[in-house]
Order: sequence, then C-alpha cells, then structure tokens
Amino acid sequence: MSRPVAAAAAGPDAAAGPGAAVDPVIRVAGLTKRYGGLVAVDAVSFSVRRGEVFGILGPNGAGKTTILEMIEGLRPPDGGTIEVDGLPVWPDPRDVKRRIGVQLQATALFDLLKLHEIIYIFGSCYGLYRSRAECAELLERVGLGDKTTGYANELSGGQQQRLSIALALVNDPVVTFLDEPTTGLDPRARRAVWDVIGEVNRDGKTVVLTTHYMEEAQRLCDRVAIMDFGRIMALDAPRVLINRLGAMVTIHFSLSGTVPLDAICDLDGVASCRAEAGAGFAVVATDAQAAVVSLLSLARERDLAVANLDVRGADLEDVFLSMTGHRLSEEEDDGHETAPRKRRAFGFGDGR
Amino acid sequence: MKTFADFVRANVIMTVRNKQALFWSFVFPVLLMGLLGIVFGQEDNFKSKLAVVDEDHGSLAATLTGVLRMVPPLDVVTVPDRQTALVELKDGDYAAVLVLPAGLQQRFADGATQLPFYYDASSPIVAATVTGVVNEVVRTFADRTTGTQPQLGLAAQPVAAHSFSYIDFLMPGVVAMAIMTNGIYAVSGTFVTYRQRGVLHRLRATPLPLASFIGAYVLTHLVRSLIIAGLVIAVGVFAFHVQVASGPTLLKVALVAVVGSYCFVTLGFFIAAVAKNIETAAAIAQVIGTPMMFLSGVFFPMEEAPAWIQPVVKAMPLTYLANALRDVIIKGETLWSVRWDLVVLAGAGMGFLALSVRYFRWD
Repeated sequence: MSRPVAAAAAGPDAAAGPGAAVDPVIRVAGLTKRYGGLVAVDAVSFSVRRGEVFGILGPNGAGKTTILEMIEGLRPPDGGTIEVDGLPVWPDPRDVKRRIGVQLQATALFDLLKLHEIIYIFGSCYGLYRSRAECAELLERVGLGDKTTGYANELSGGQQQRLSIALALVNDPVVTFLDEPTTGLDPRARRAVWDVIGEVNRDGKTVVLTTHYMEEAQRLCDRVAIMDFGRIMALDAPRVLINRLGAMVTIHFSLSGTVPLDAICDLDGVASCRAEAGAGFAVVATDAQAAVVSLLSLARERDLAVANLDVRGADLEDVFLSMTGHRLSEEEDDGHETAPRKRRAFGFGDGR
Repeated sequence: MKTFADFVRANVIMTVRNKQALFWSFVFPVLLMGLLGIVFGQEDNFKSKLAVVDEDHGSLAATLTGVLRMVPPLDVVTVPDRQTALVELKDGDYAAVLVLPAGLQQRFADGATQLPFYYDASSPIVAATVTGVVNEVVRTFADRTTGTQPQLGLAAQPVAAHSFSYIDFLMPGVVAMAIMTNGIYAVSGTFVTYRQRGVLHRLRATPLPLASFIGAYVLTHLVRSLIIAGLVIAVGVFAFHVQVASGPTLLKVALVAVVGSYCFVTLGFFIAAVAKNIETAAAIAQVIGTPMMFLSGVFFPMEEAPAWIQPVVKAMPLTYLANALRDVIIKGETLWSVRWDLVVLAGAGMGFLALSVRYFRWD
C-alpha cells in the first residue's frame, strides 16, 4: 500500500539517526493502523537494538498499545512492515510468537489454577513442558517464590503484574514486551516491578515497554520513543532528549493576584507556559535568568507577591511538553490540565 | 498432543475446583431427579392397572370381575373387546389384560381351563406381581364357586409394550435437560469470562492454535455431560427403579448424549460470541434455555399440547434430544430408529458452530 511520504518523514527515523542499530532485533517501517477514519498509528518507523530496554512513552490513546500489538502479531497493521529477530511478523505471526514474550494490559488469568500450574500451562502452549521445580524457579525470579501454590486472585495488583511478567518469560524469549507494566500500581509495587524488569534486562534480554510515566521511562529505558497522536515525536536516550532542550528550565510559581496567562507567556525568555492550580503557573524558559527577572518586574508593576518560586532542570516531562504542547500524564495533573487535554482528544476524533 | 492433554487436564482441575459449577452441573440434576422421583416415583408401582375383557357376558364373569375389583393392589377396568385391550396394553395403558372367554361357566365345570392373560413384558416386576395376584384370585374364586379343584390357570403371554410410568418418562428428560443447561450456561459463561478478562487475548499471544484450546475444552465438556447422564440414570435406576431397556443401552445413551452435548456446546459458543458481557450471556441463555426446558417434552409429553404450539416444540433442539434419549433408555430402540433426532441435533450443532465462528471476537 502507498503511505503518505510526508507523514513518514515527520517521524524520526531511528535507523538513520545517530547510533543506528547495528543488529536491530526489531525493525518497524511505515507502520500504520486506522480505525475507521481515525489514524491510530501514523506511518511509524523505528528499530530496537538487541539487549536494550526500549520505551514507548506517551499519554493514553497515543497508539502505544496498538503498535505493540501489531509487533506481537495480535493486530494486523494496515500498512508498513515489522521484522522481529529477522522474521517478518505478518502475514503469519506464528514463528514470531514463539520467539517473543508478551505481557498484556490487564490480563486476568485462570482463577482456578495455582500459580505453578498457570506457568506450566503457558509453557505448554510453546511446547515446553516444565517441571514443577522449573515453574517455581521462574516464579522465584519475579519474587513470587512463596506463592507457587497460591491462586492468581489472591495476589495484589503488583504481584499479578509480576506473574504476568513471569508468563512473558516462560518461553525464554528473544524480546519481552511489557504493556504498561506498572499502571495502577502504588509506588512500592511499581519499584518491585522495576526491579524485575531490570533483572530481565541484566540477563541480556531485550525489553520493549510502554508507559505513560515519565519517571519509569527515565529510569528503565536505554532509549525512549516519545509518542503523541500516533506519531513518534522524538526518539533517543532519555539523557540526550533532555540535553536537547539545552539550558531549558521549568519555573513554577504562584502570584497573589490574577494575571492573564498571556502576560506570563510574554515574559522574557519563556518558550511555553501554562496555568496551574491556585493561581499558579509553570513556564518553560530558554533563559532562566531573563525569565525570573522579568517575572519579578511584572509582579512589582502589578503590586503582586511571587510565592512558591521553583526553578528546576528539564526532565522527560518537559521534553514531552516542549514537543507536544501538553503534559504527559493526566493523573499528575490538576483540573486545569485535564480539561484541555480532553478537548483536544475530542477534536482529534472529529477532525481526522 | 501433550499440550492438548495438558489443557484437558487443566480443564478437569478447574472444573473440580469450581464448587459452584460442580453444584449446578452435577449435584443439581441429581437432586432434581431425586426430588421428581420422590414426588412421582411411587405412582404406578403398587397399584397396577388390569384390563378385564368380558367375552362371556355371564353372571360368573361379572362376579369374578367384581372380586378382582376388590383386590387392593389391582386397578381394574373393563374393556369391551380383546383387540382394543391389546392395543392399549401395547401403548402402556395397562400392566396386564385378562380375558374371560365365552362359556366360562362350562369351562369351570370342566375343571380344566386356561384363561388368556397378557402382560406387559417391559416392566417385569409389575408384571410378575400382577400375574401372581390374578392367578391366586382366579384359583381361589374357581375353588369357591365350583367346589372342585379345577386345573385352572392363566395362559400367560408376554406382550412387548411401551409401558412406562411418569418417572420413566421423566428420567431421560432430566438427562436431556442437564446436558442442555450444562452446554449453554457453562460454555457461554466460561468463554464470555475468558474473553472479558483477556484470557483469550493472552493465549492468542502464544503459538497455541485457538482450536486446540477450544477442542480441549469441548472434549472435557463431553466427558462432563456423560458423567452427568450416568449420575442421573444411576439415581433413577437404583433409587426409583426406573426400567432401563436391556441390551447395550448405556453405549447408545453415551452416543446420543455426545451428539446432544455437541449441539448445546456449540449453542453455548454462539451465545458467548454474541453476548457482550457475562450478564448478557446469562440473560440470553435464560431466554433460550427456559422455554426449551418446558416446551421440549422434558417434564410433560408435548403430544397432548395444543396444535399451535407444535411448531415451537419442533423447533427446539432439546425436543429431539429428549425424544432420542427416551426411545433409547426406556423403549430400548436402536440408534437407527432415532437417526433423525441425531441428524437434527448434529445439523443444528453445525449451524451453531458456523454462527459462532462468524461472530467470534477475541476481545
């Protein structure tokens, strides 16, 4: 099928970019998926290197899961090609399925089987008939060694996710796909899952994960693809992406009186700005000094006090903000930010 | 192959651990059979219908008939002619027919006569009781009236009759009903849950063909249906003396049960395919299952139902399963004679399977 050349060019082509993969374990080119009139994945191209932890970072609805499911052989693409370990995934994904491990979002398993039995039966799906001890060993690896004779519905959310990861490792896969492995977990459970993922990667296994947590991507991933509305906006190591923002800083503050957002955006050295809760503002500034000085003079002119002034260096959240003009994760937002995001989501659905 | 066996084993383990499913699949049909047996099981066992054909029309015959009427275990009716009586005996209306031939007085006086007596061979225990009682009554009667000791007896002849009591009628119906409910409720419930919770989606990410997974489930399910059929039949036979036809009946029952199971398993898959969630699946299963339970001749014979409802009766797969099981279990008929019931069940199963494939969704 013919794909729009302009769209393909819009996404960064990792294979041609700096540090192009010498031995990519996954090669994706021009990958496209439409649902009716909606383009969920828009001519995306990238490669994943053997042995790295590759992150796909983006808000809900950015197309992360759709991309993953097309690579996993669960959802046929409308255009483009995917190779995993040198094999084309489509039209017959059977061989690729043998080589990959998959953890899907929100999979409940057989409630009436014990954990070691679940591990066994999934191994059996790959023609691997593991002994009870081998099943227990795999559970041990994800920190569920004491639960082998328990049932899945007795596990906490974090433990269930770790069981899911164990199932993704059952066939000793070349690549392990983890779809939002820590969504909905509390910080402690999240860190336990991170440890398991780190452990998997230390064994030299390639891990591809999606997340909408900036911190998760920053901490786990060797490289991150930043996605929004079905396209890759940027792809590189987290540190490189942050450095690319140069001297950019984020300045948070609140004012003792009402000031129109436009006045804040017009301050010297400000690249982007947004309102936050409680008469607060956040601005991304290319020149921190100029921005702070002009902010203080603005406050003096209007006879307002500046409070909670906080200047900090950029992180992936800021990278995302500067690329897309909106924030990444809604749950860290207050009411001021979720509303515009929703509006935009509607416009997206109607417009394209 | 080993993978297939593993999934069969996993299904068995899950069935055994699922207390609720165990109850509804295995315990409930047995309880229902027990309850129906207690309520209706005793009906025909103690009092047995005896048809008396009076060809003599004399006073002696009338007196003998009167005496027979007074014997408590017998329920005597008079029938005008032998032909009618024998046809009705074959239909199972009576346990036995006693003929009082013309010239009864003379025969008694001669001191040696055999009264024609026909009994229903399909229920040997009842037949033996009735034969014994009638024989005793007639001998005593002859002794008293003639004062002699005539060589009087019954010329007893077995008649192959389709005689069955209500409990005999009910038992195959309960087997059919259990196979039906086990099919549509259990299958639709299980697969909608699997789909809703992403189990199917997750399995699809493995190289296992879906057909193996479903095949293992269906095999487990067929075995489950056979066990249920066996349990209900065992309760009927041992607790309520249901008369099961002799011969390789159980083999025939197994085959009919498997064909019936197949039909309702595929119907269950179809419900699972069209239902959005578990609640819808349960509702659809109710809407299909409940009328079928009452209009397929499970609890009452539908031949006597109004004519306008007959097309509905004929449209229900359960009608054919209940009929086939009844013919095989009680009447001892051959598989060949129930072939059309089996063809309808298998055909409906193919149809449901095609629809299930058409509407199947992974998630």
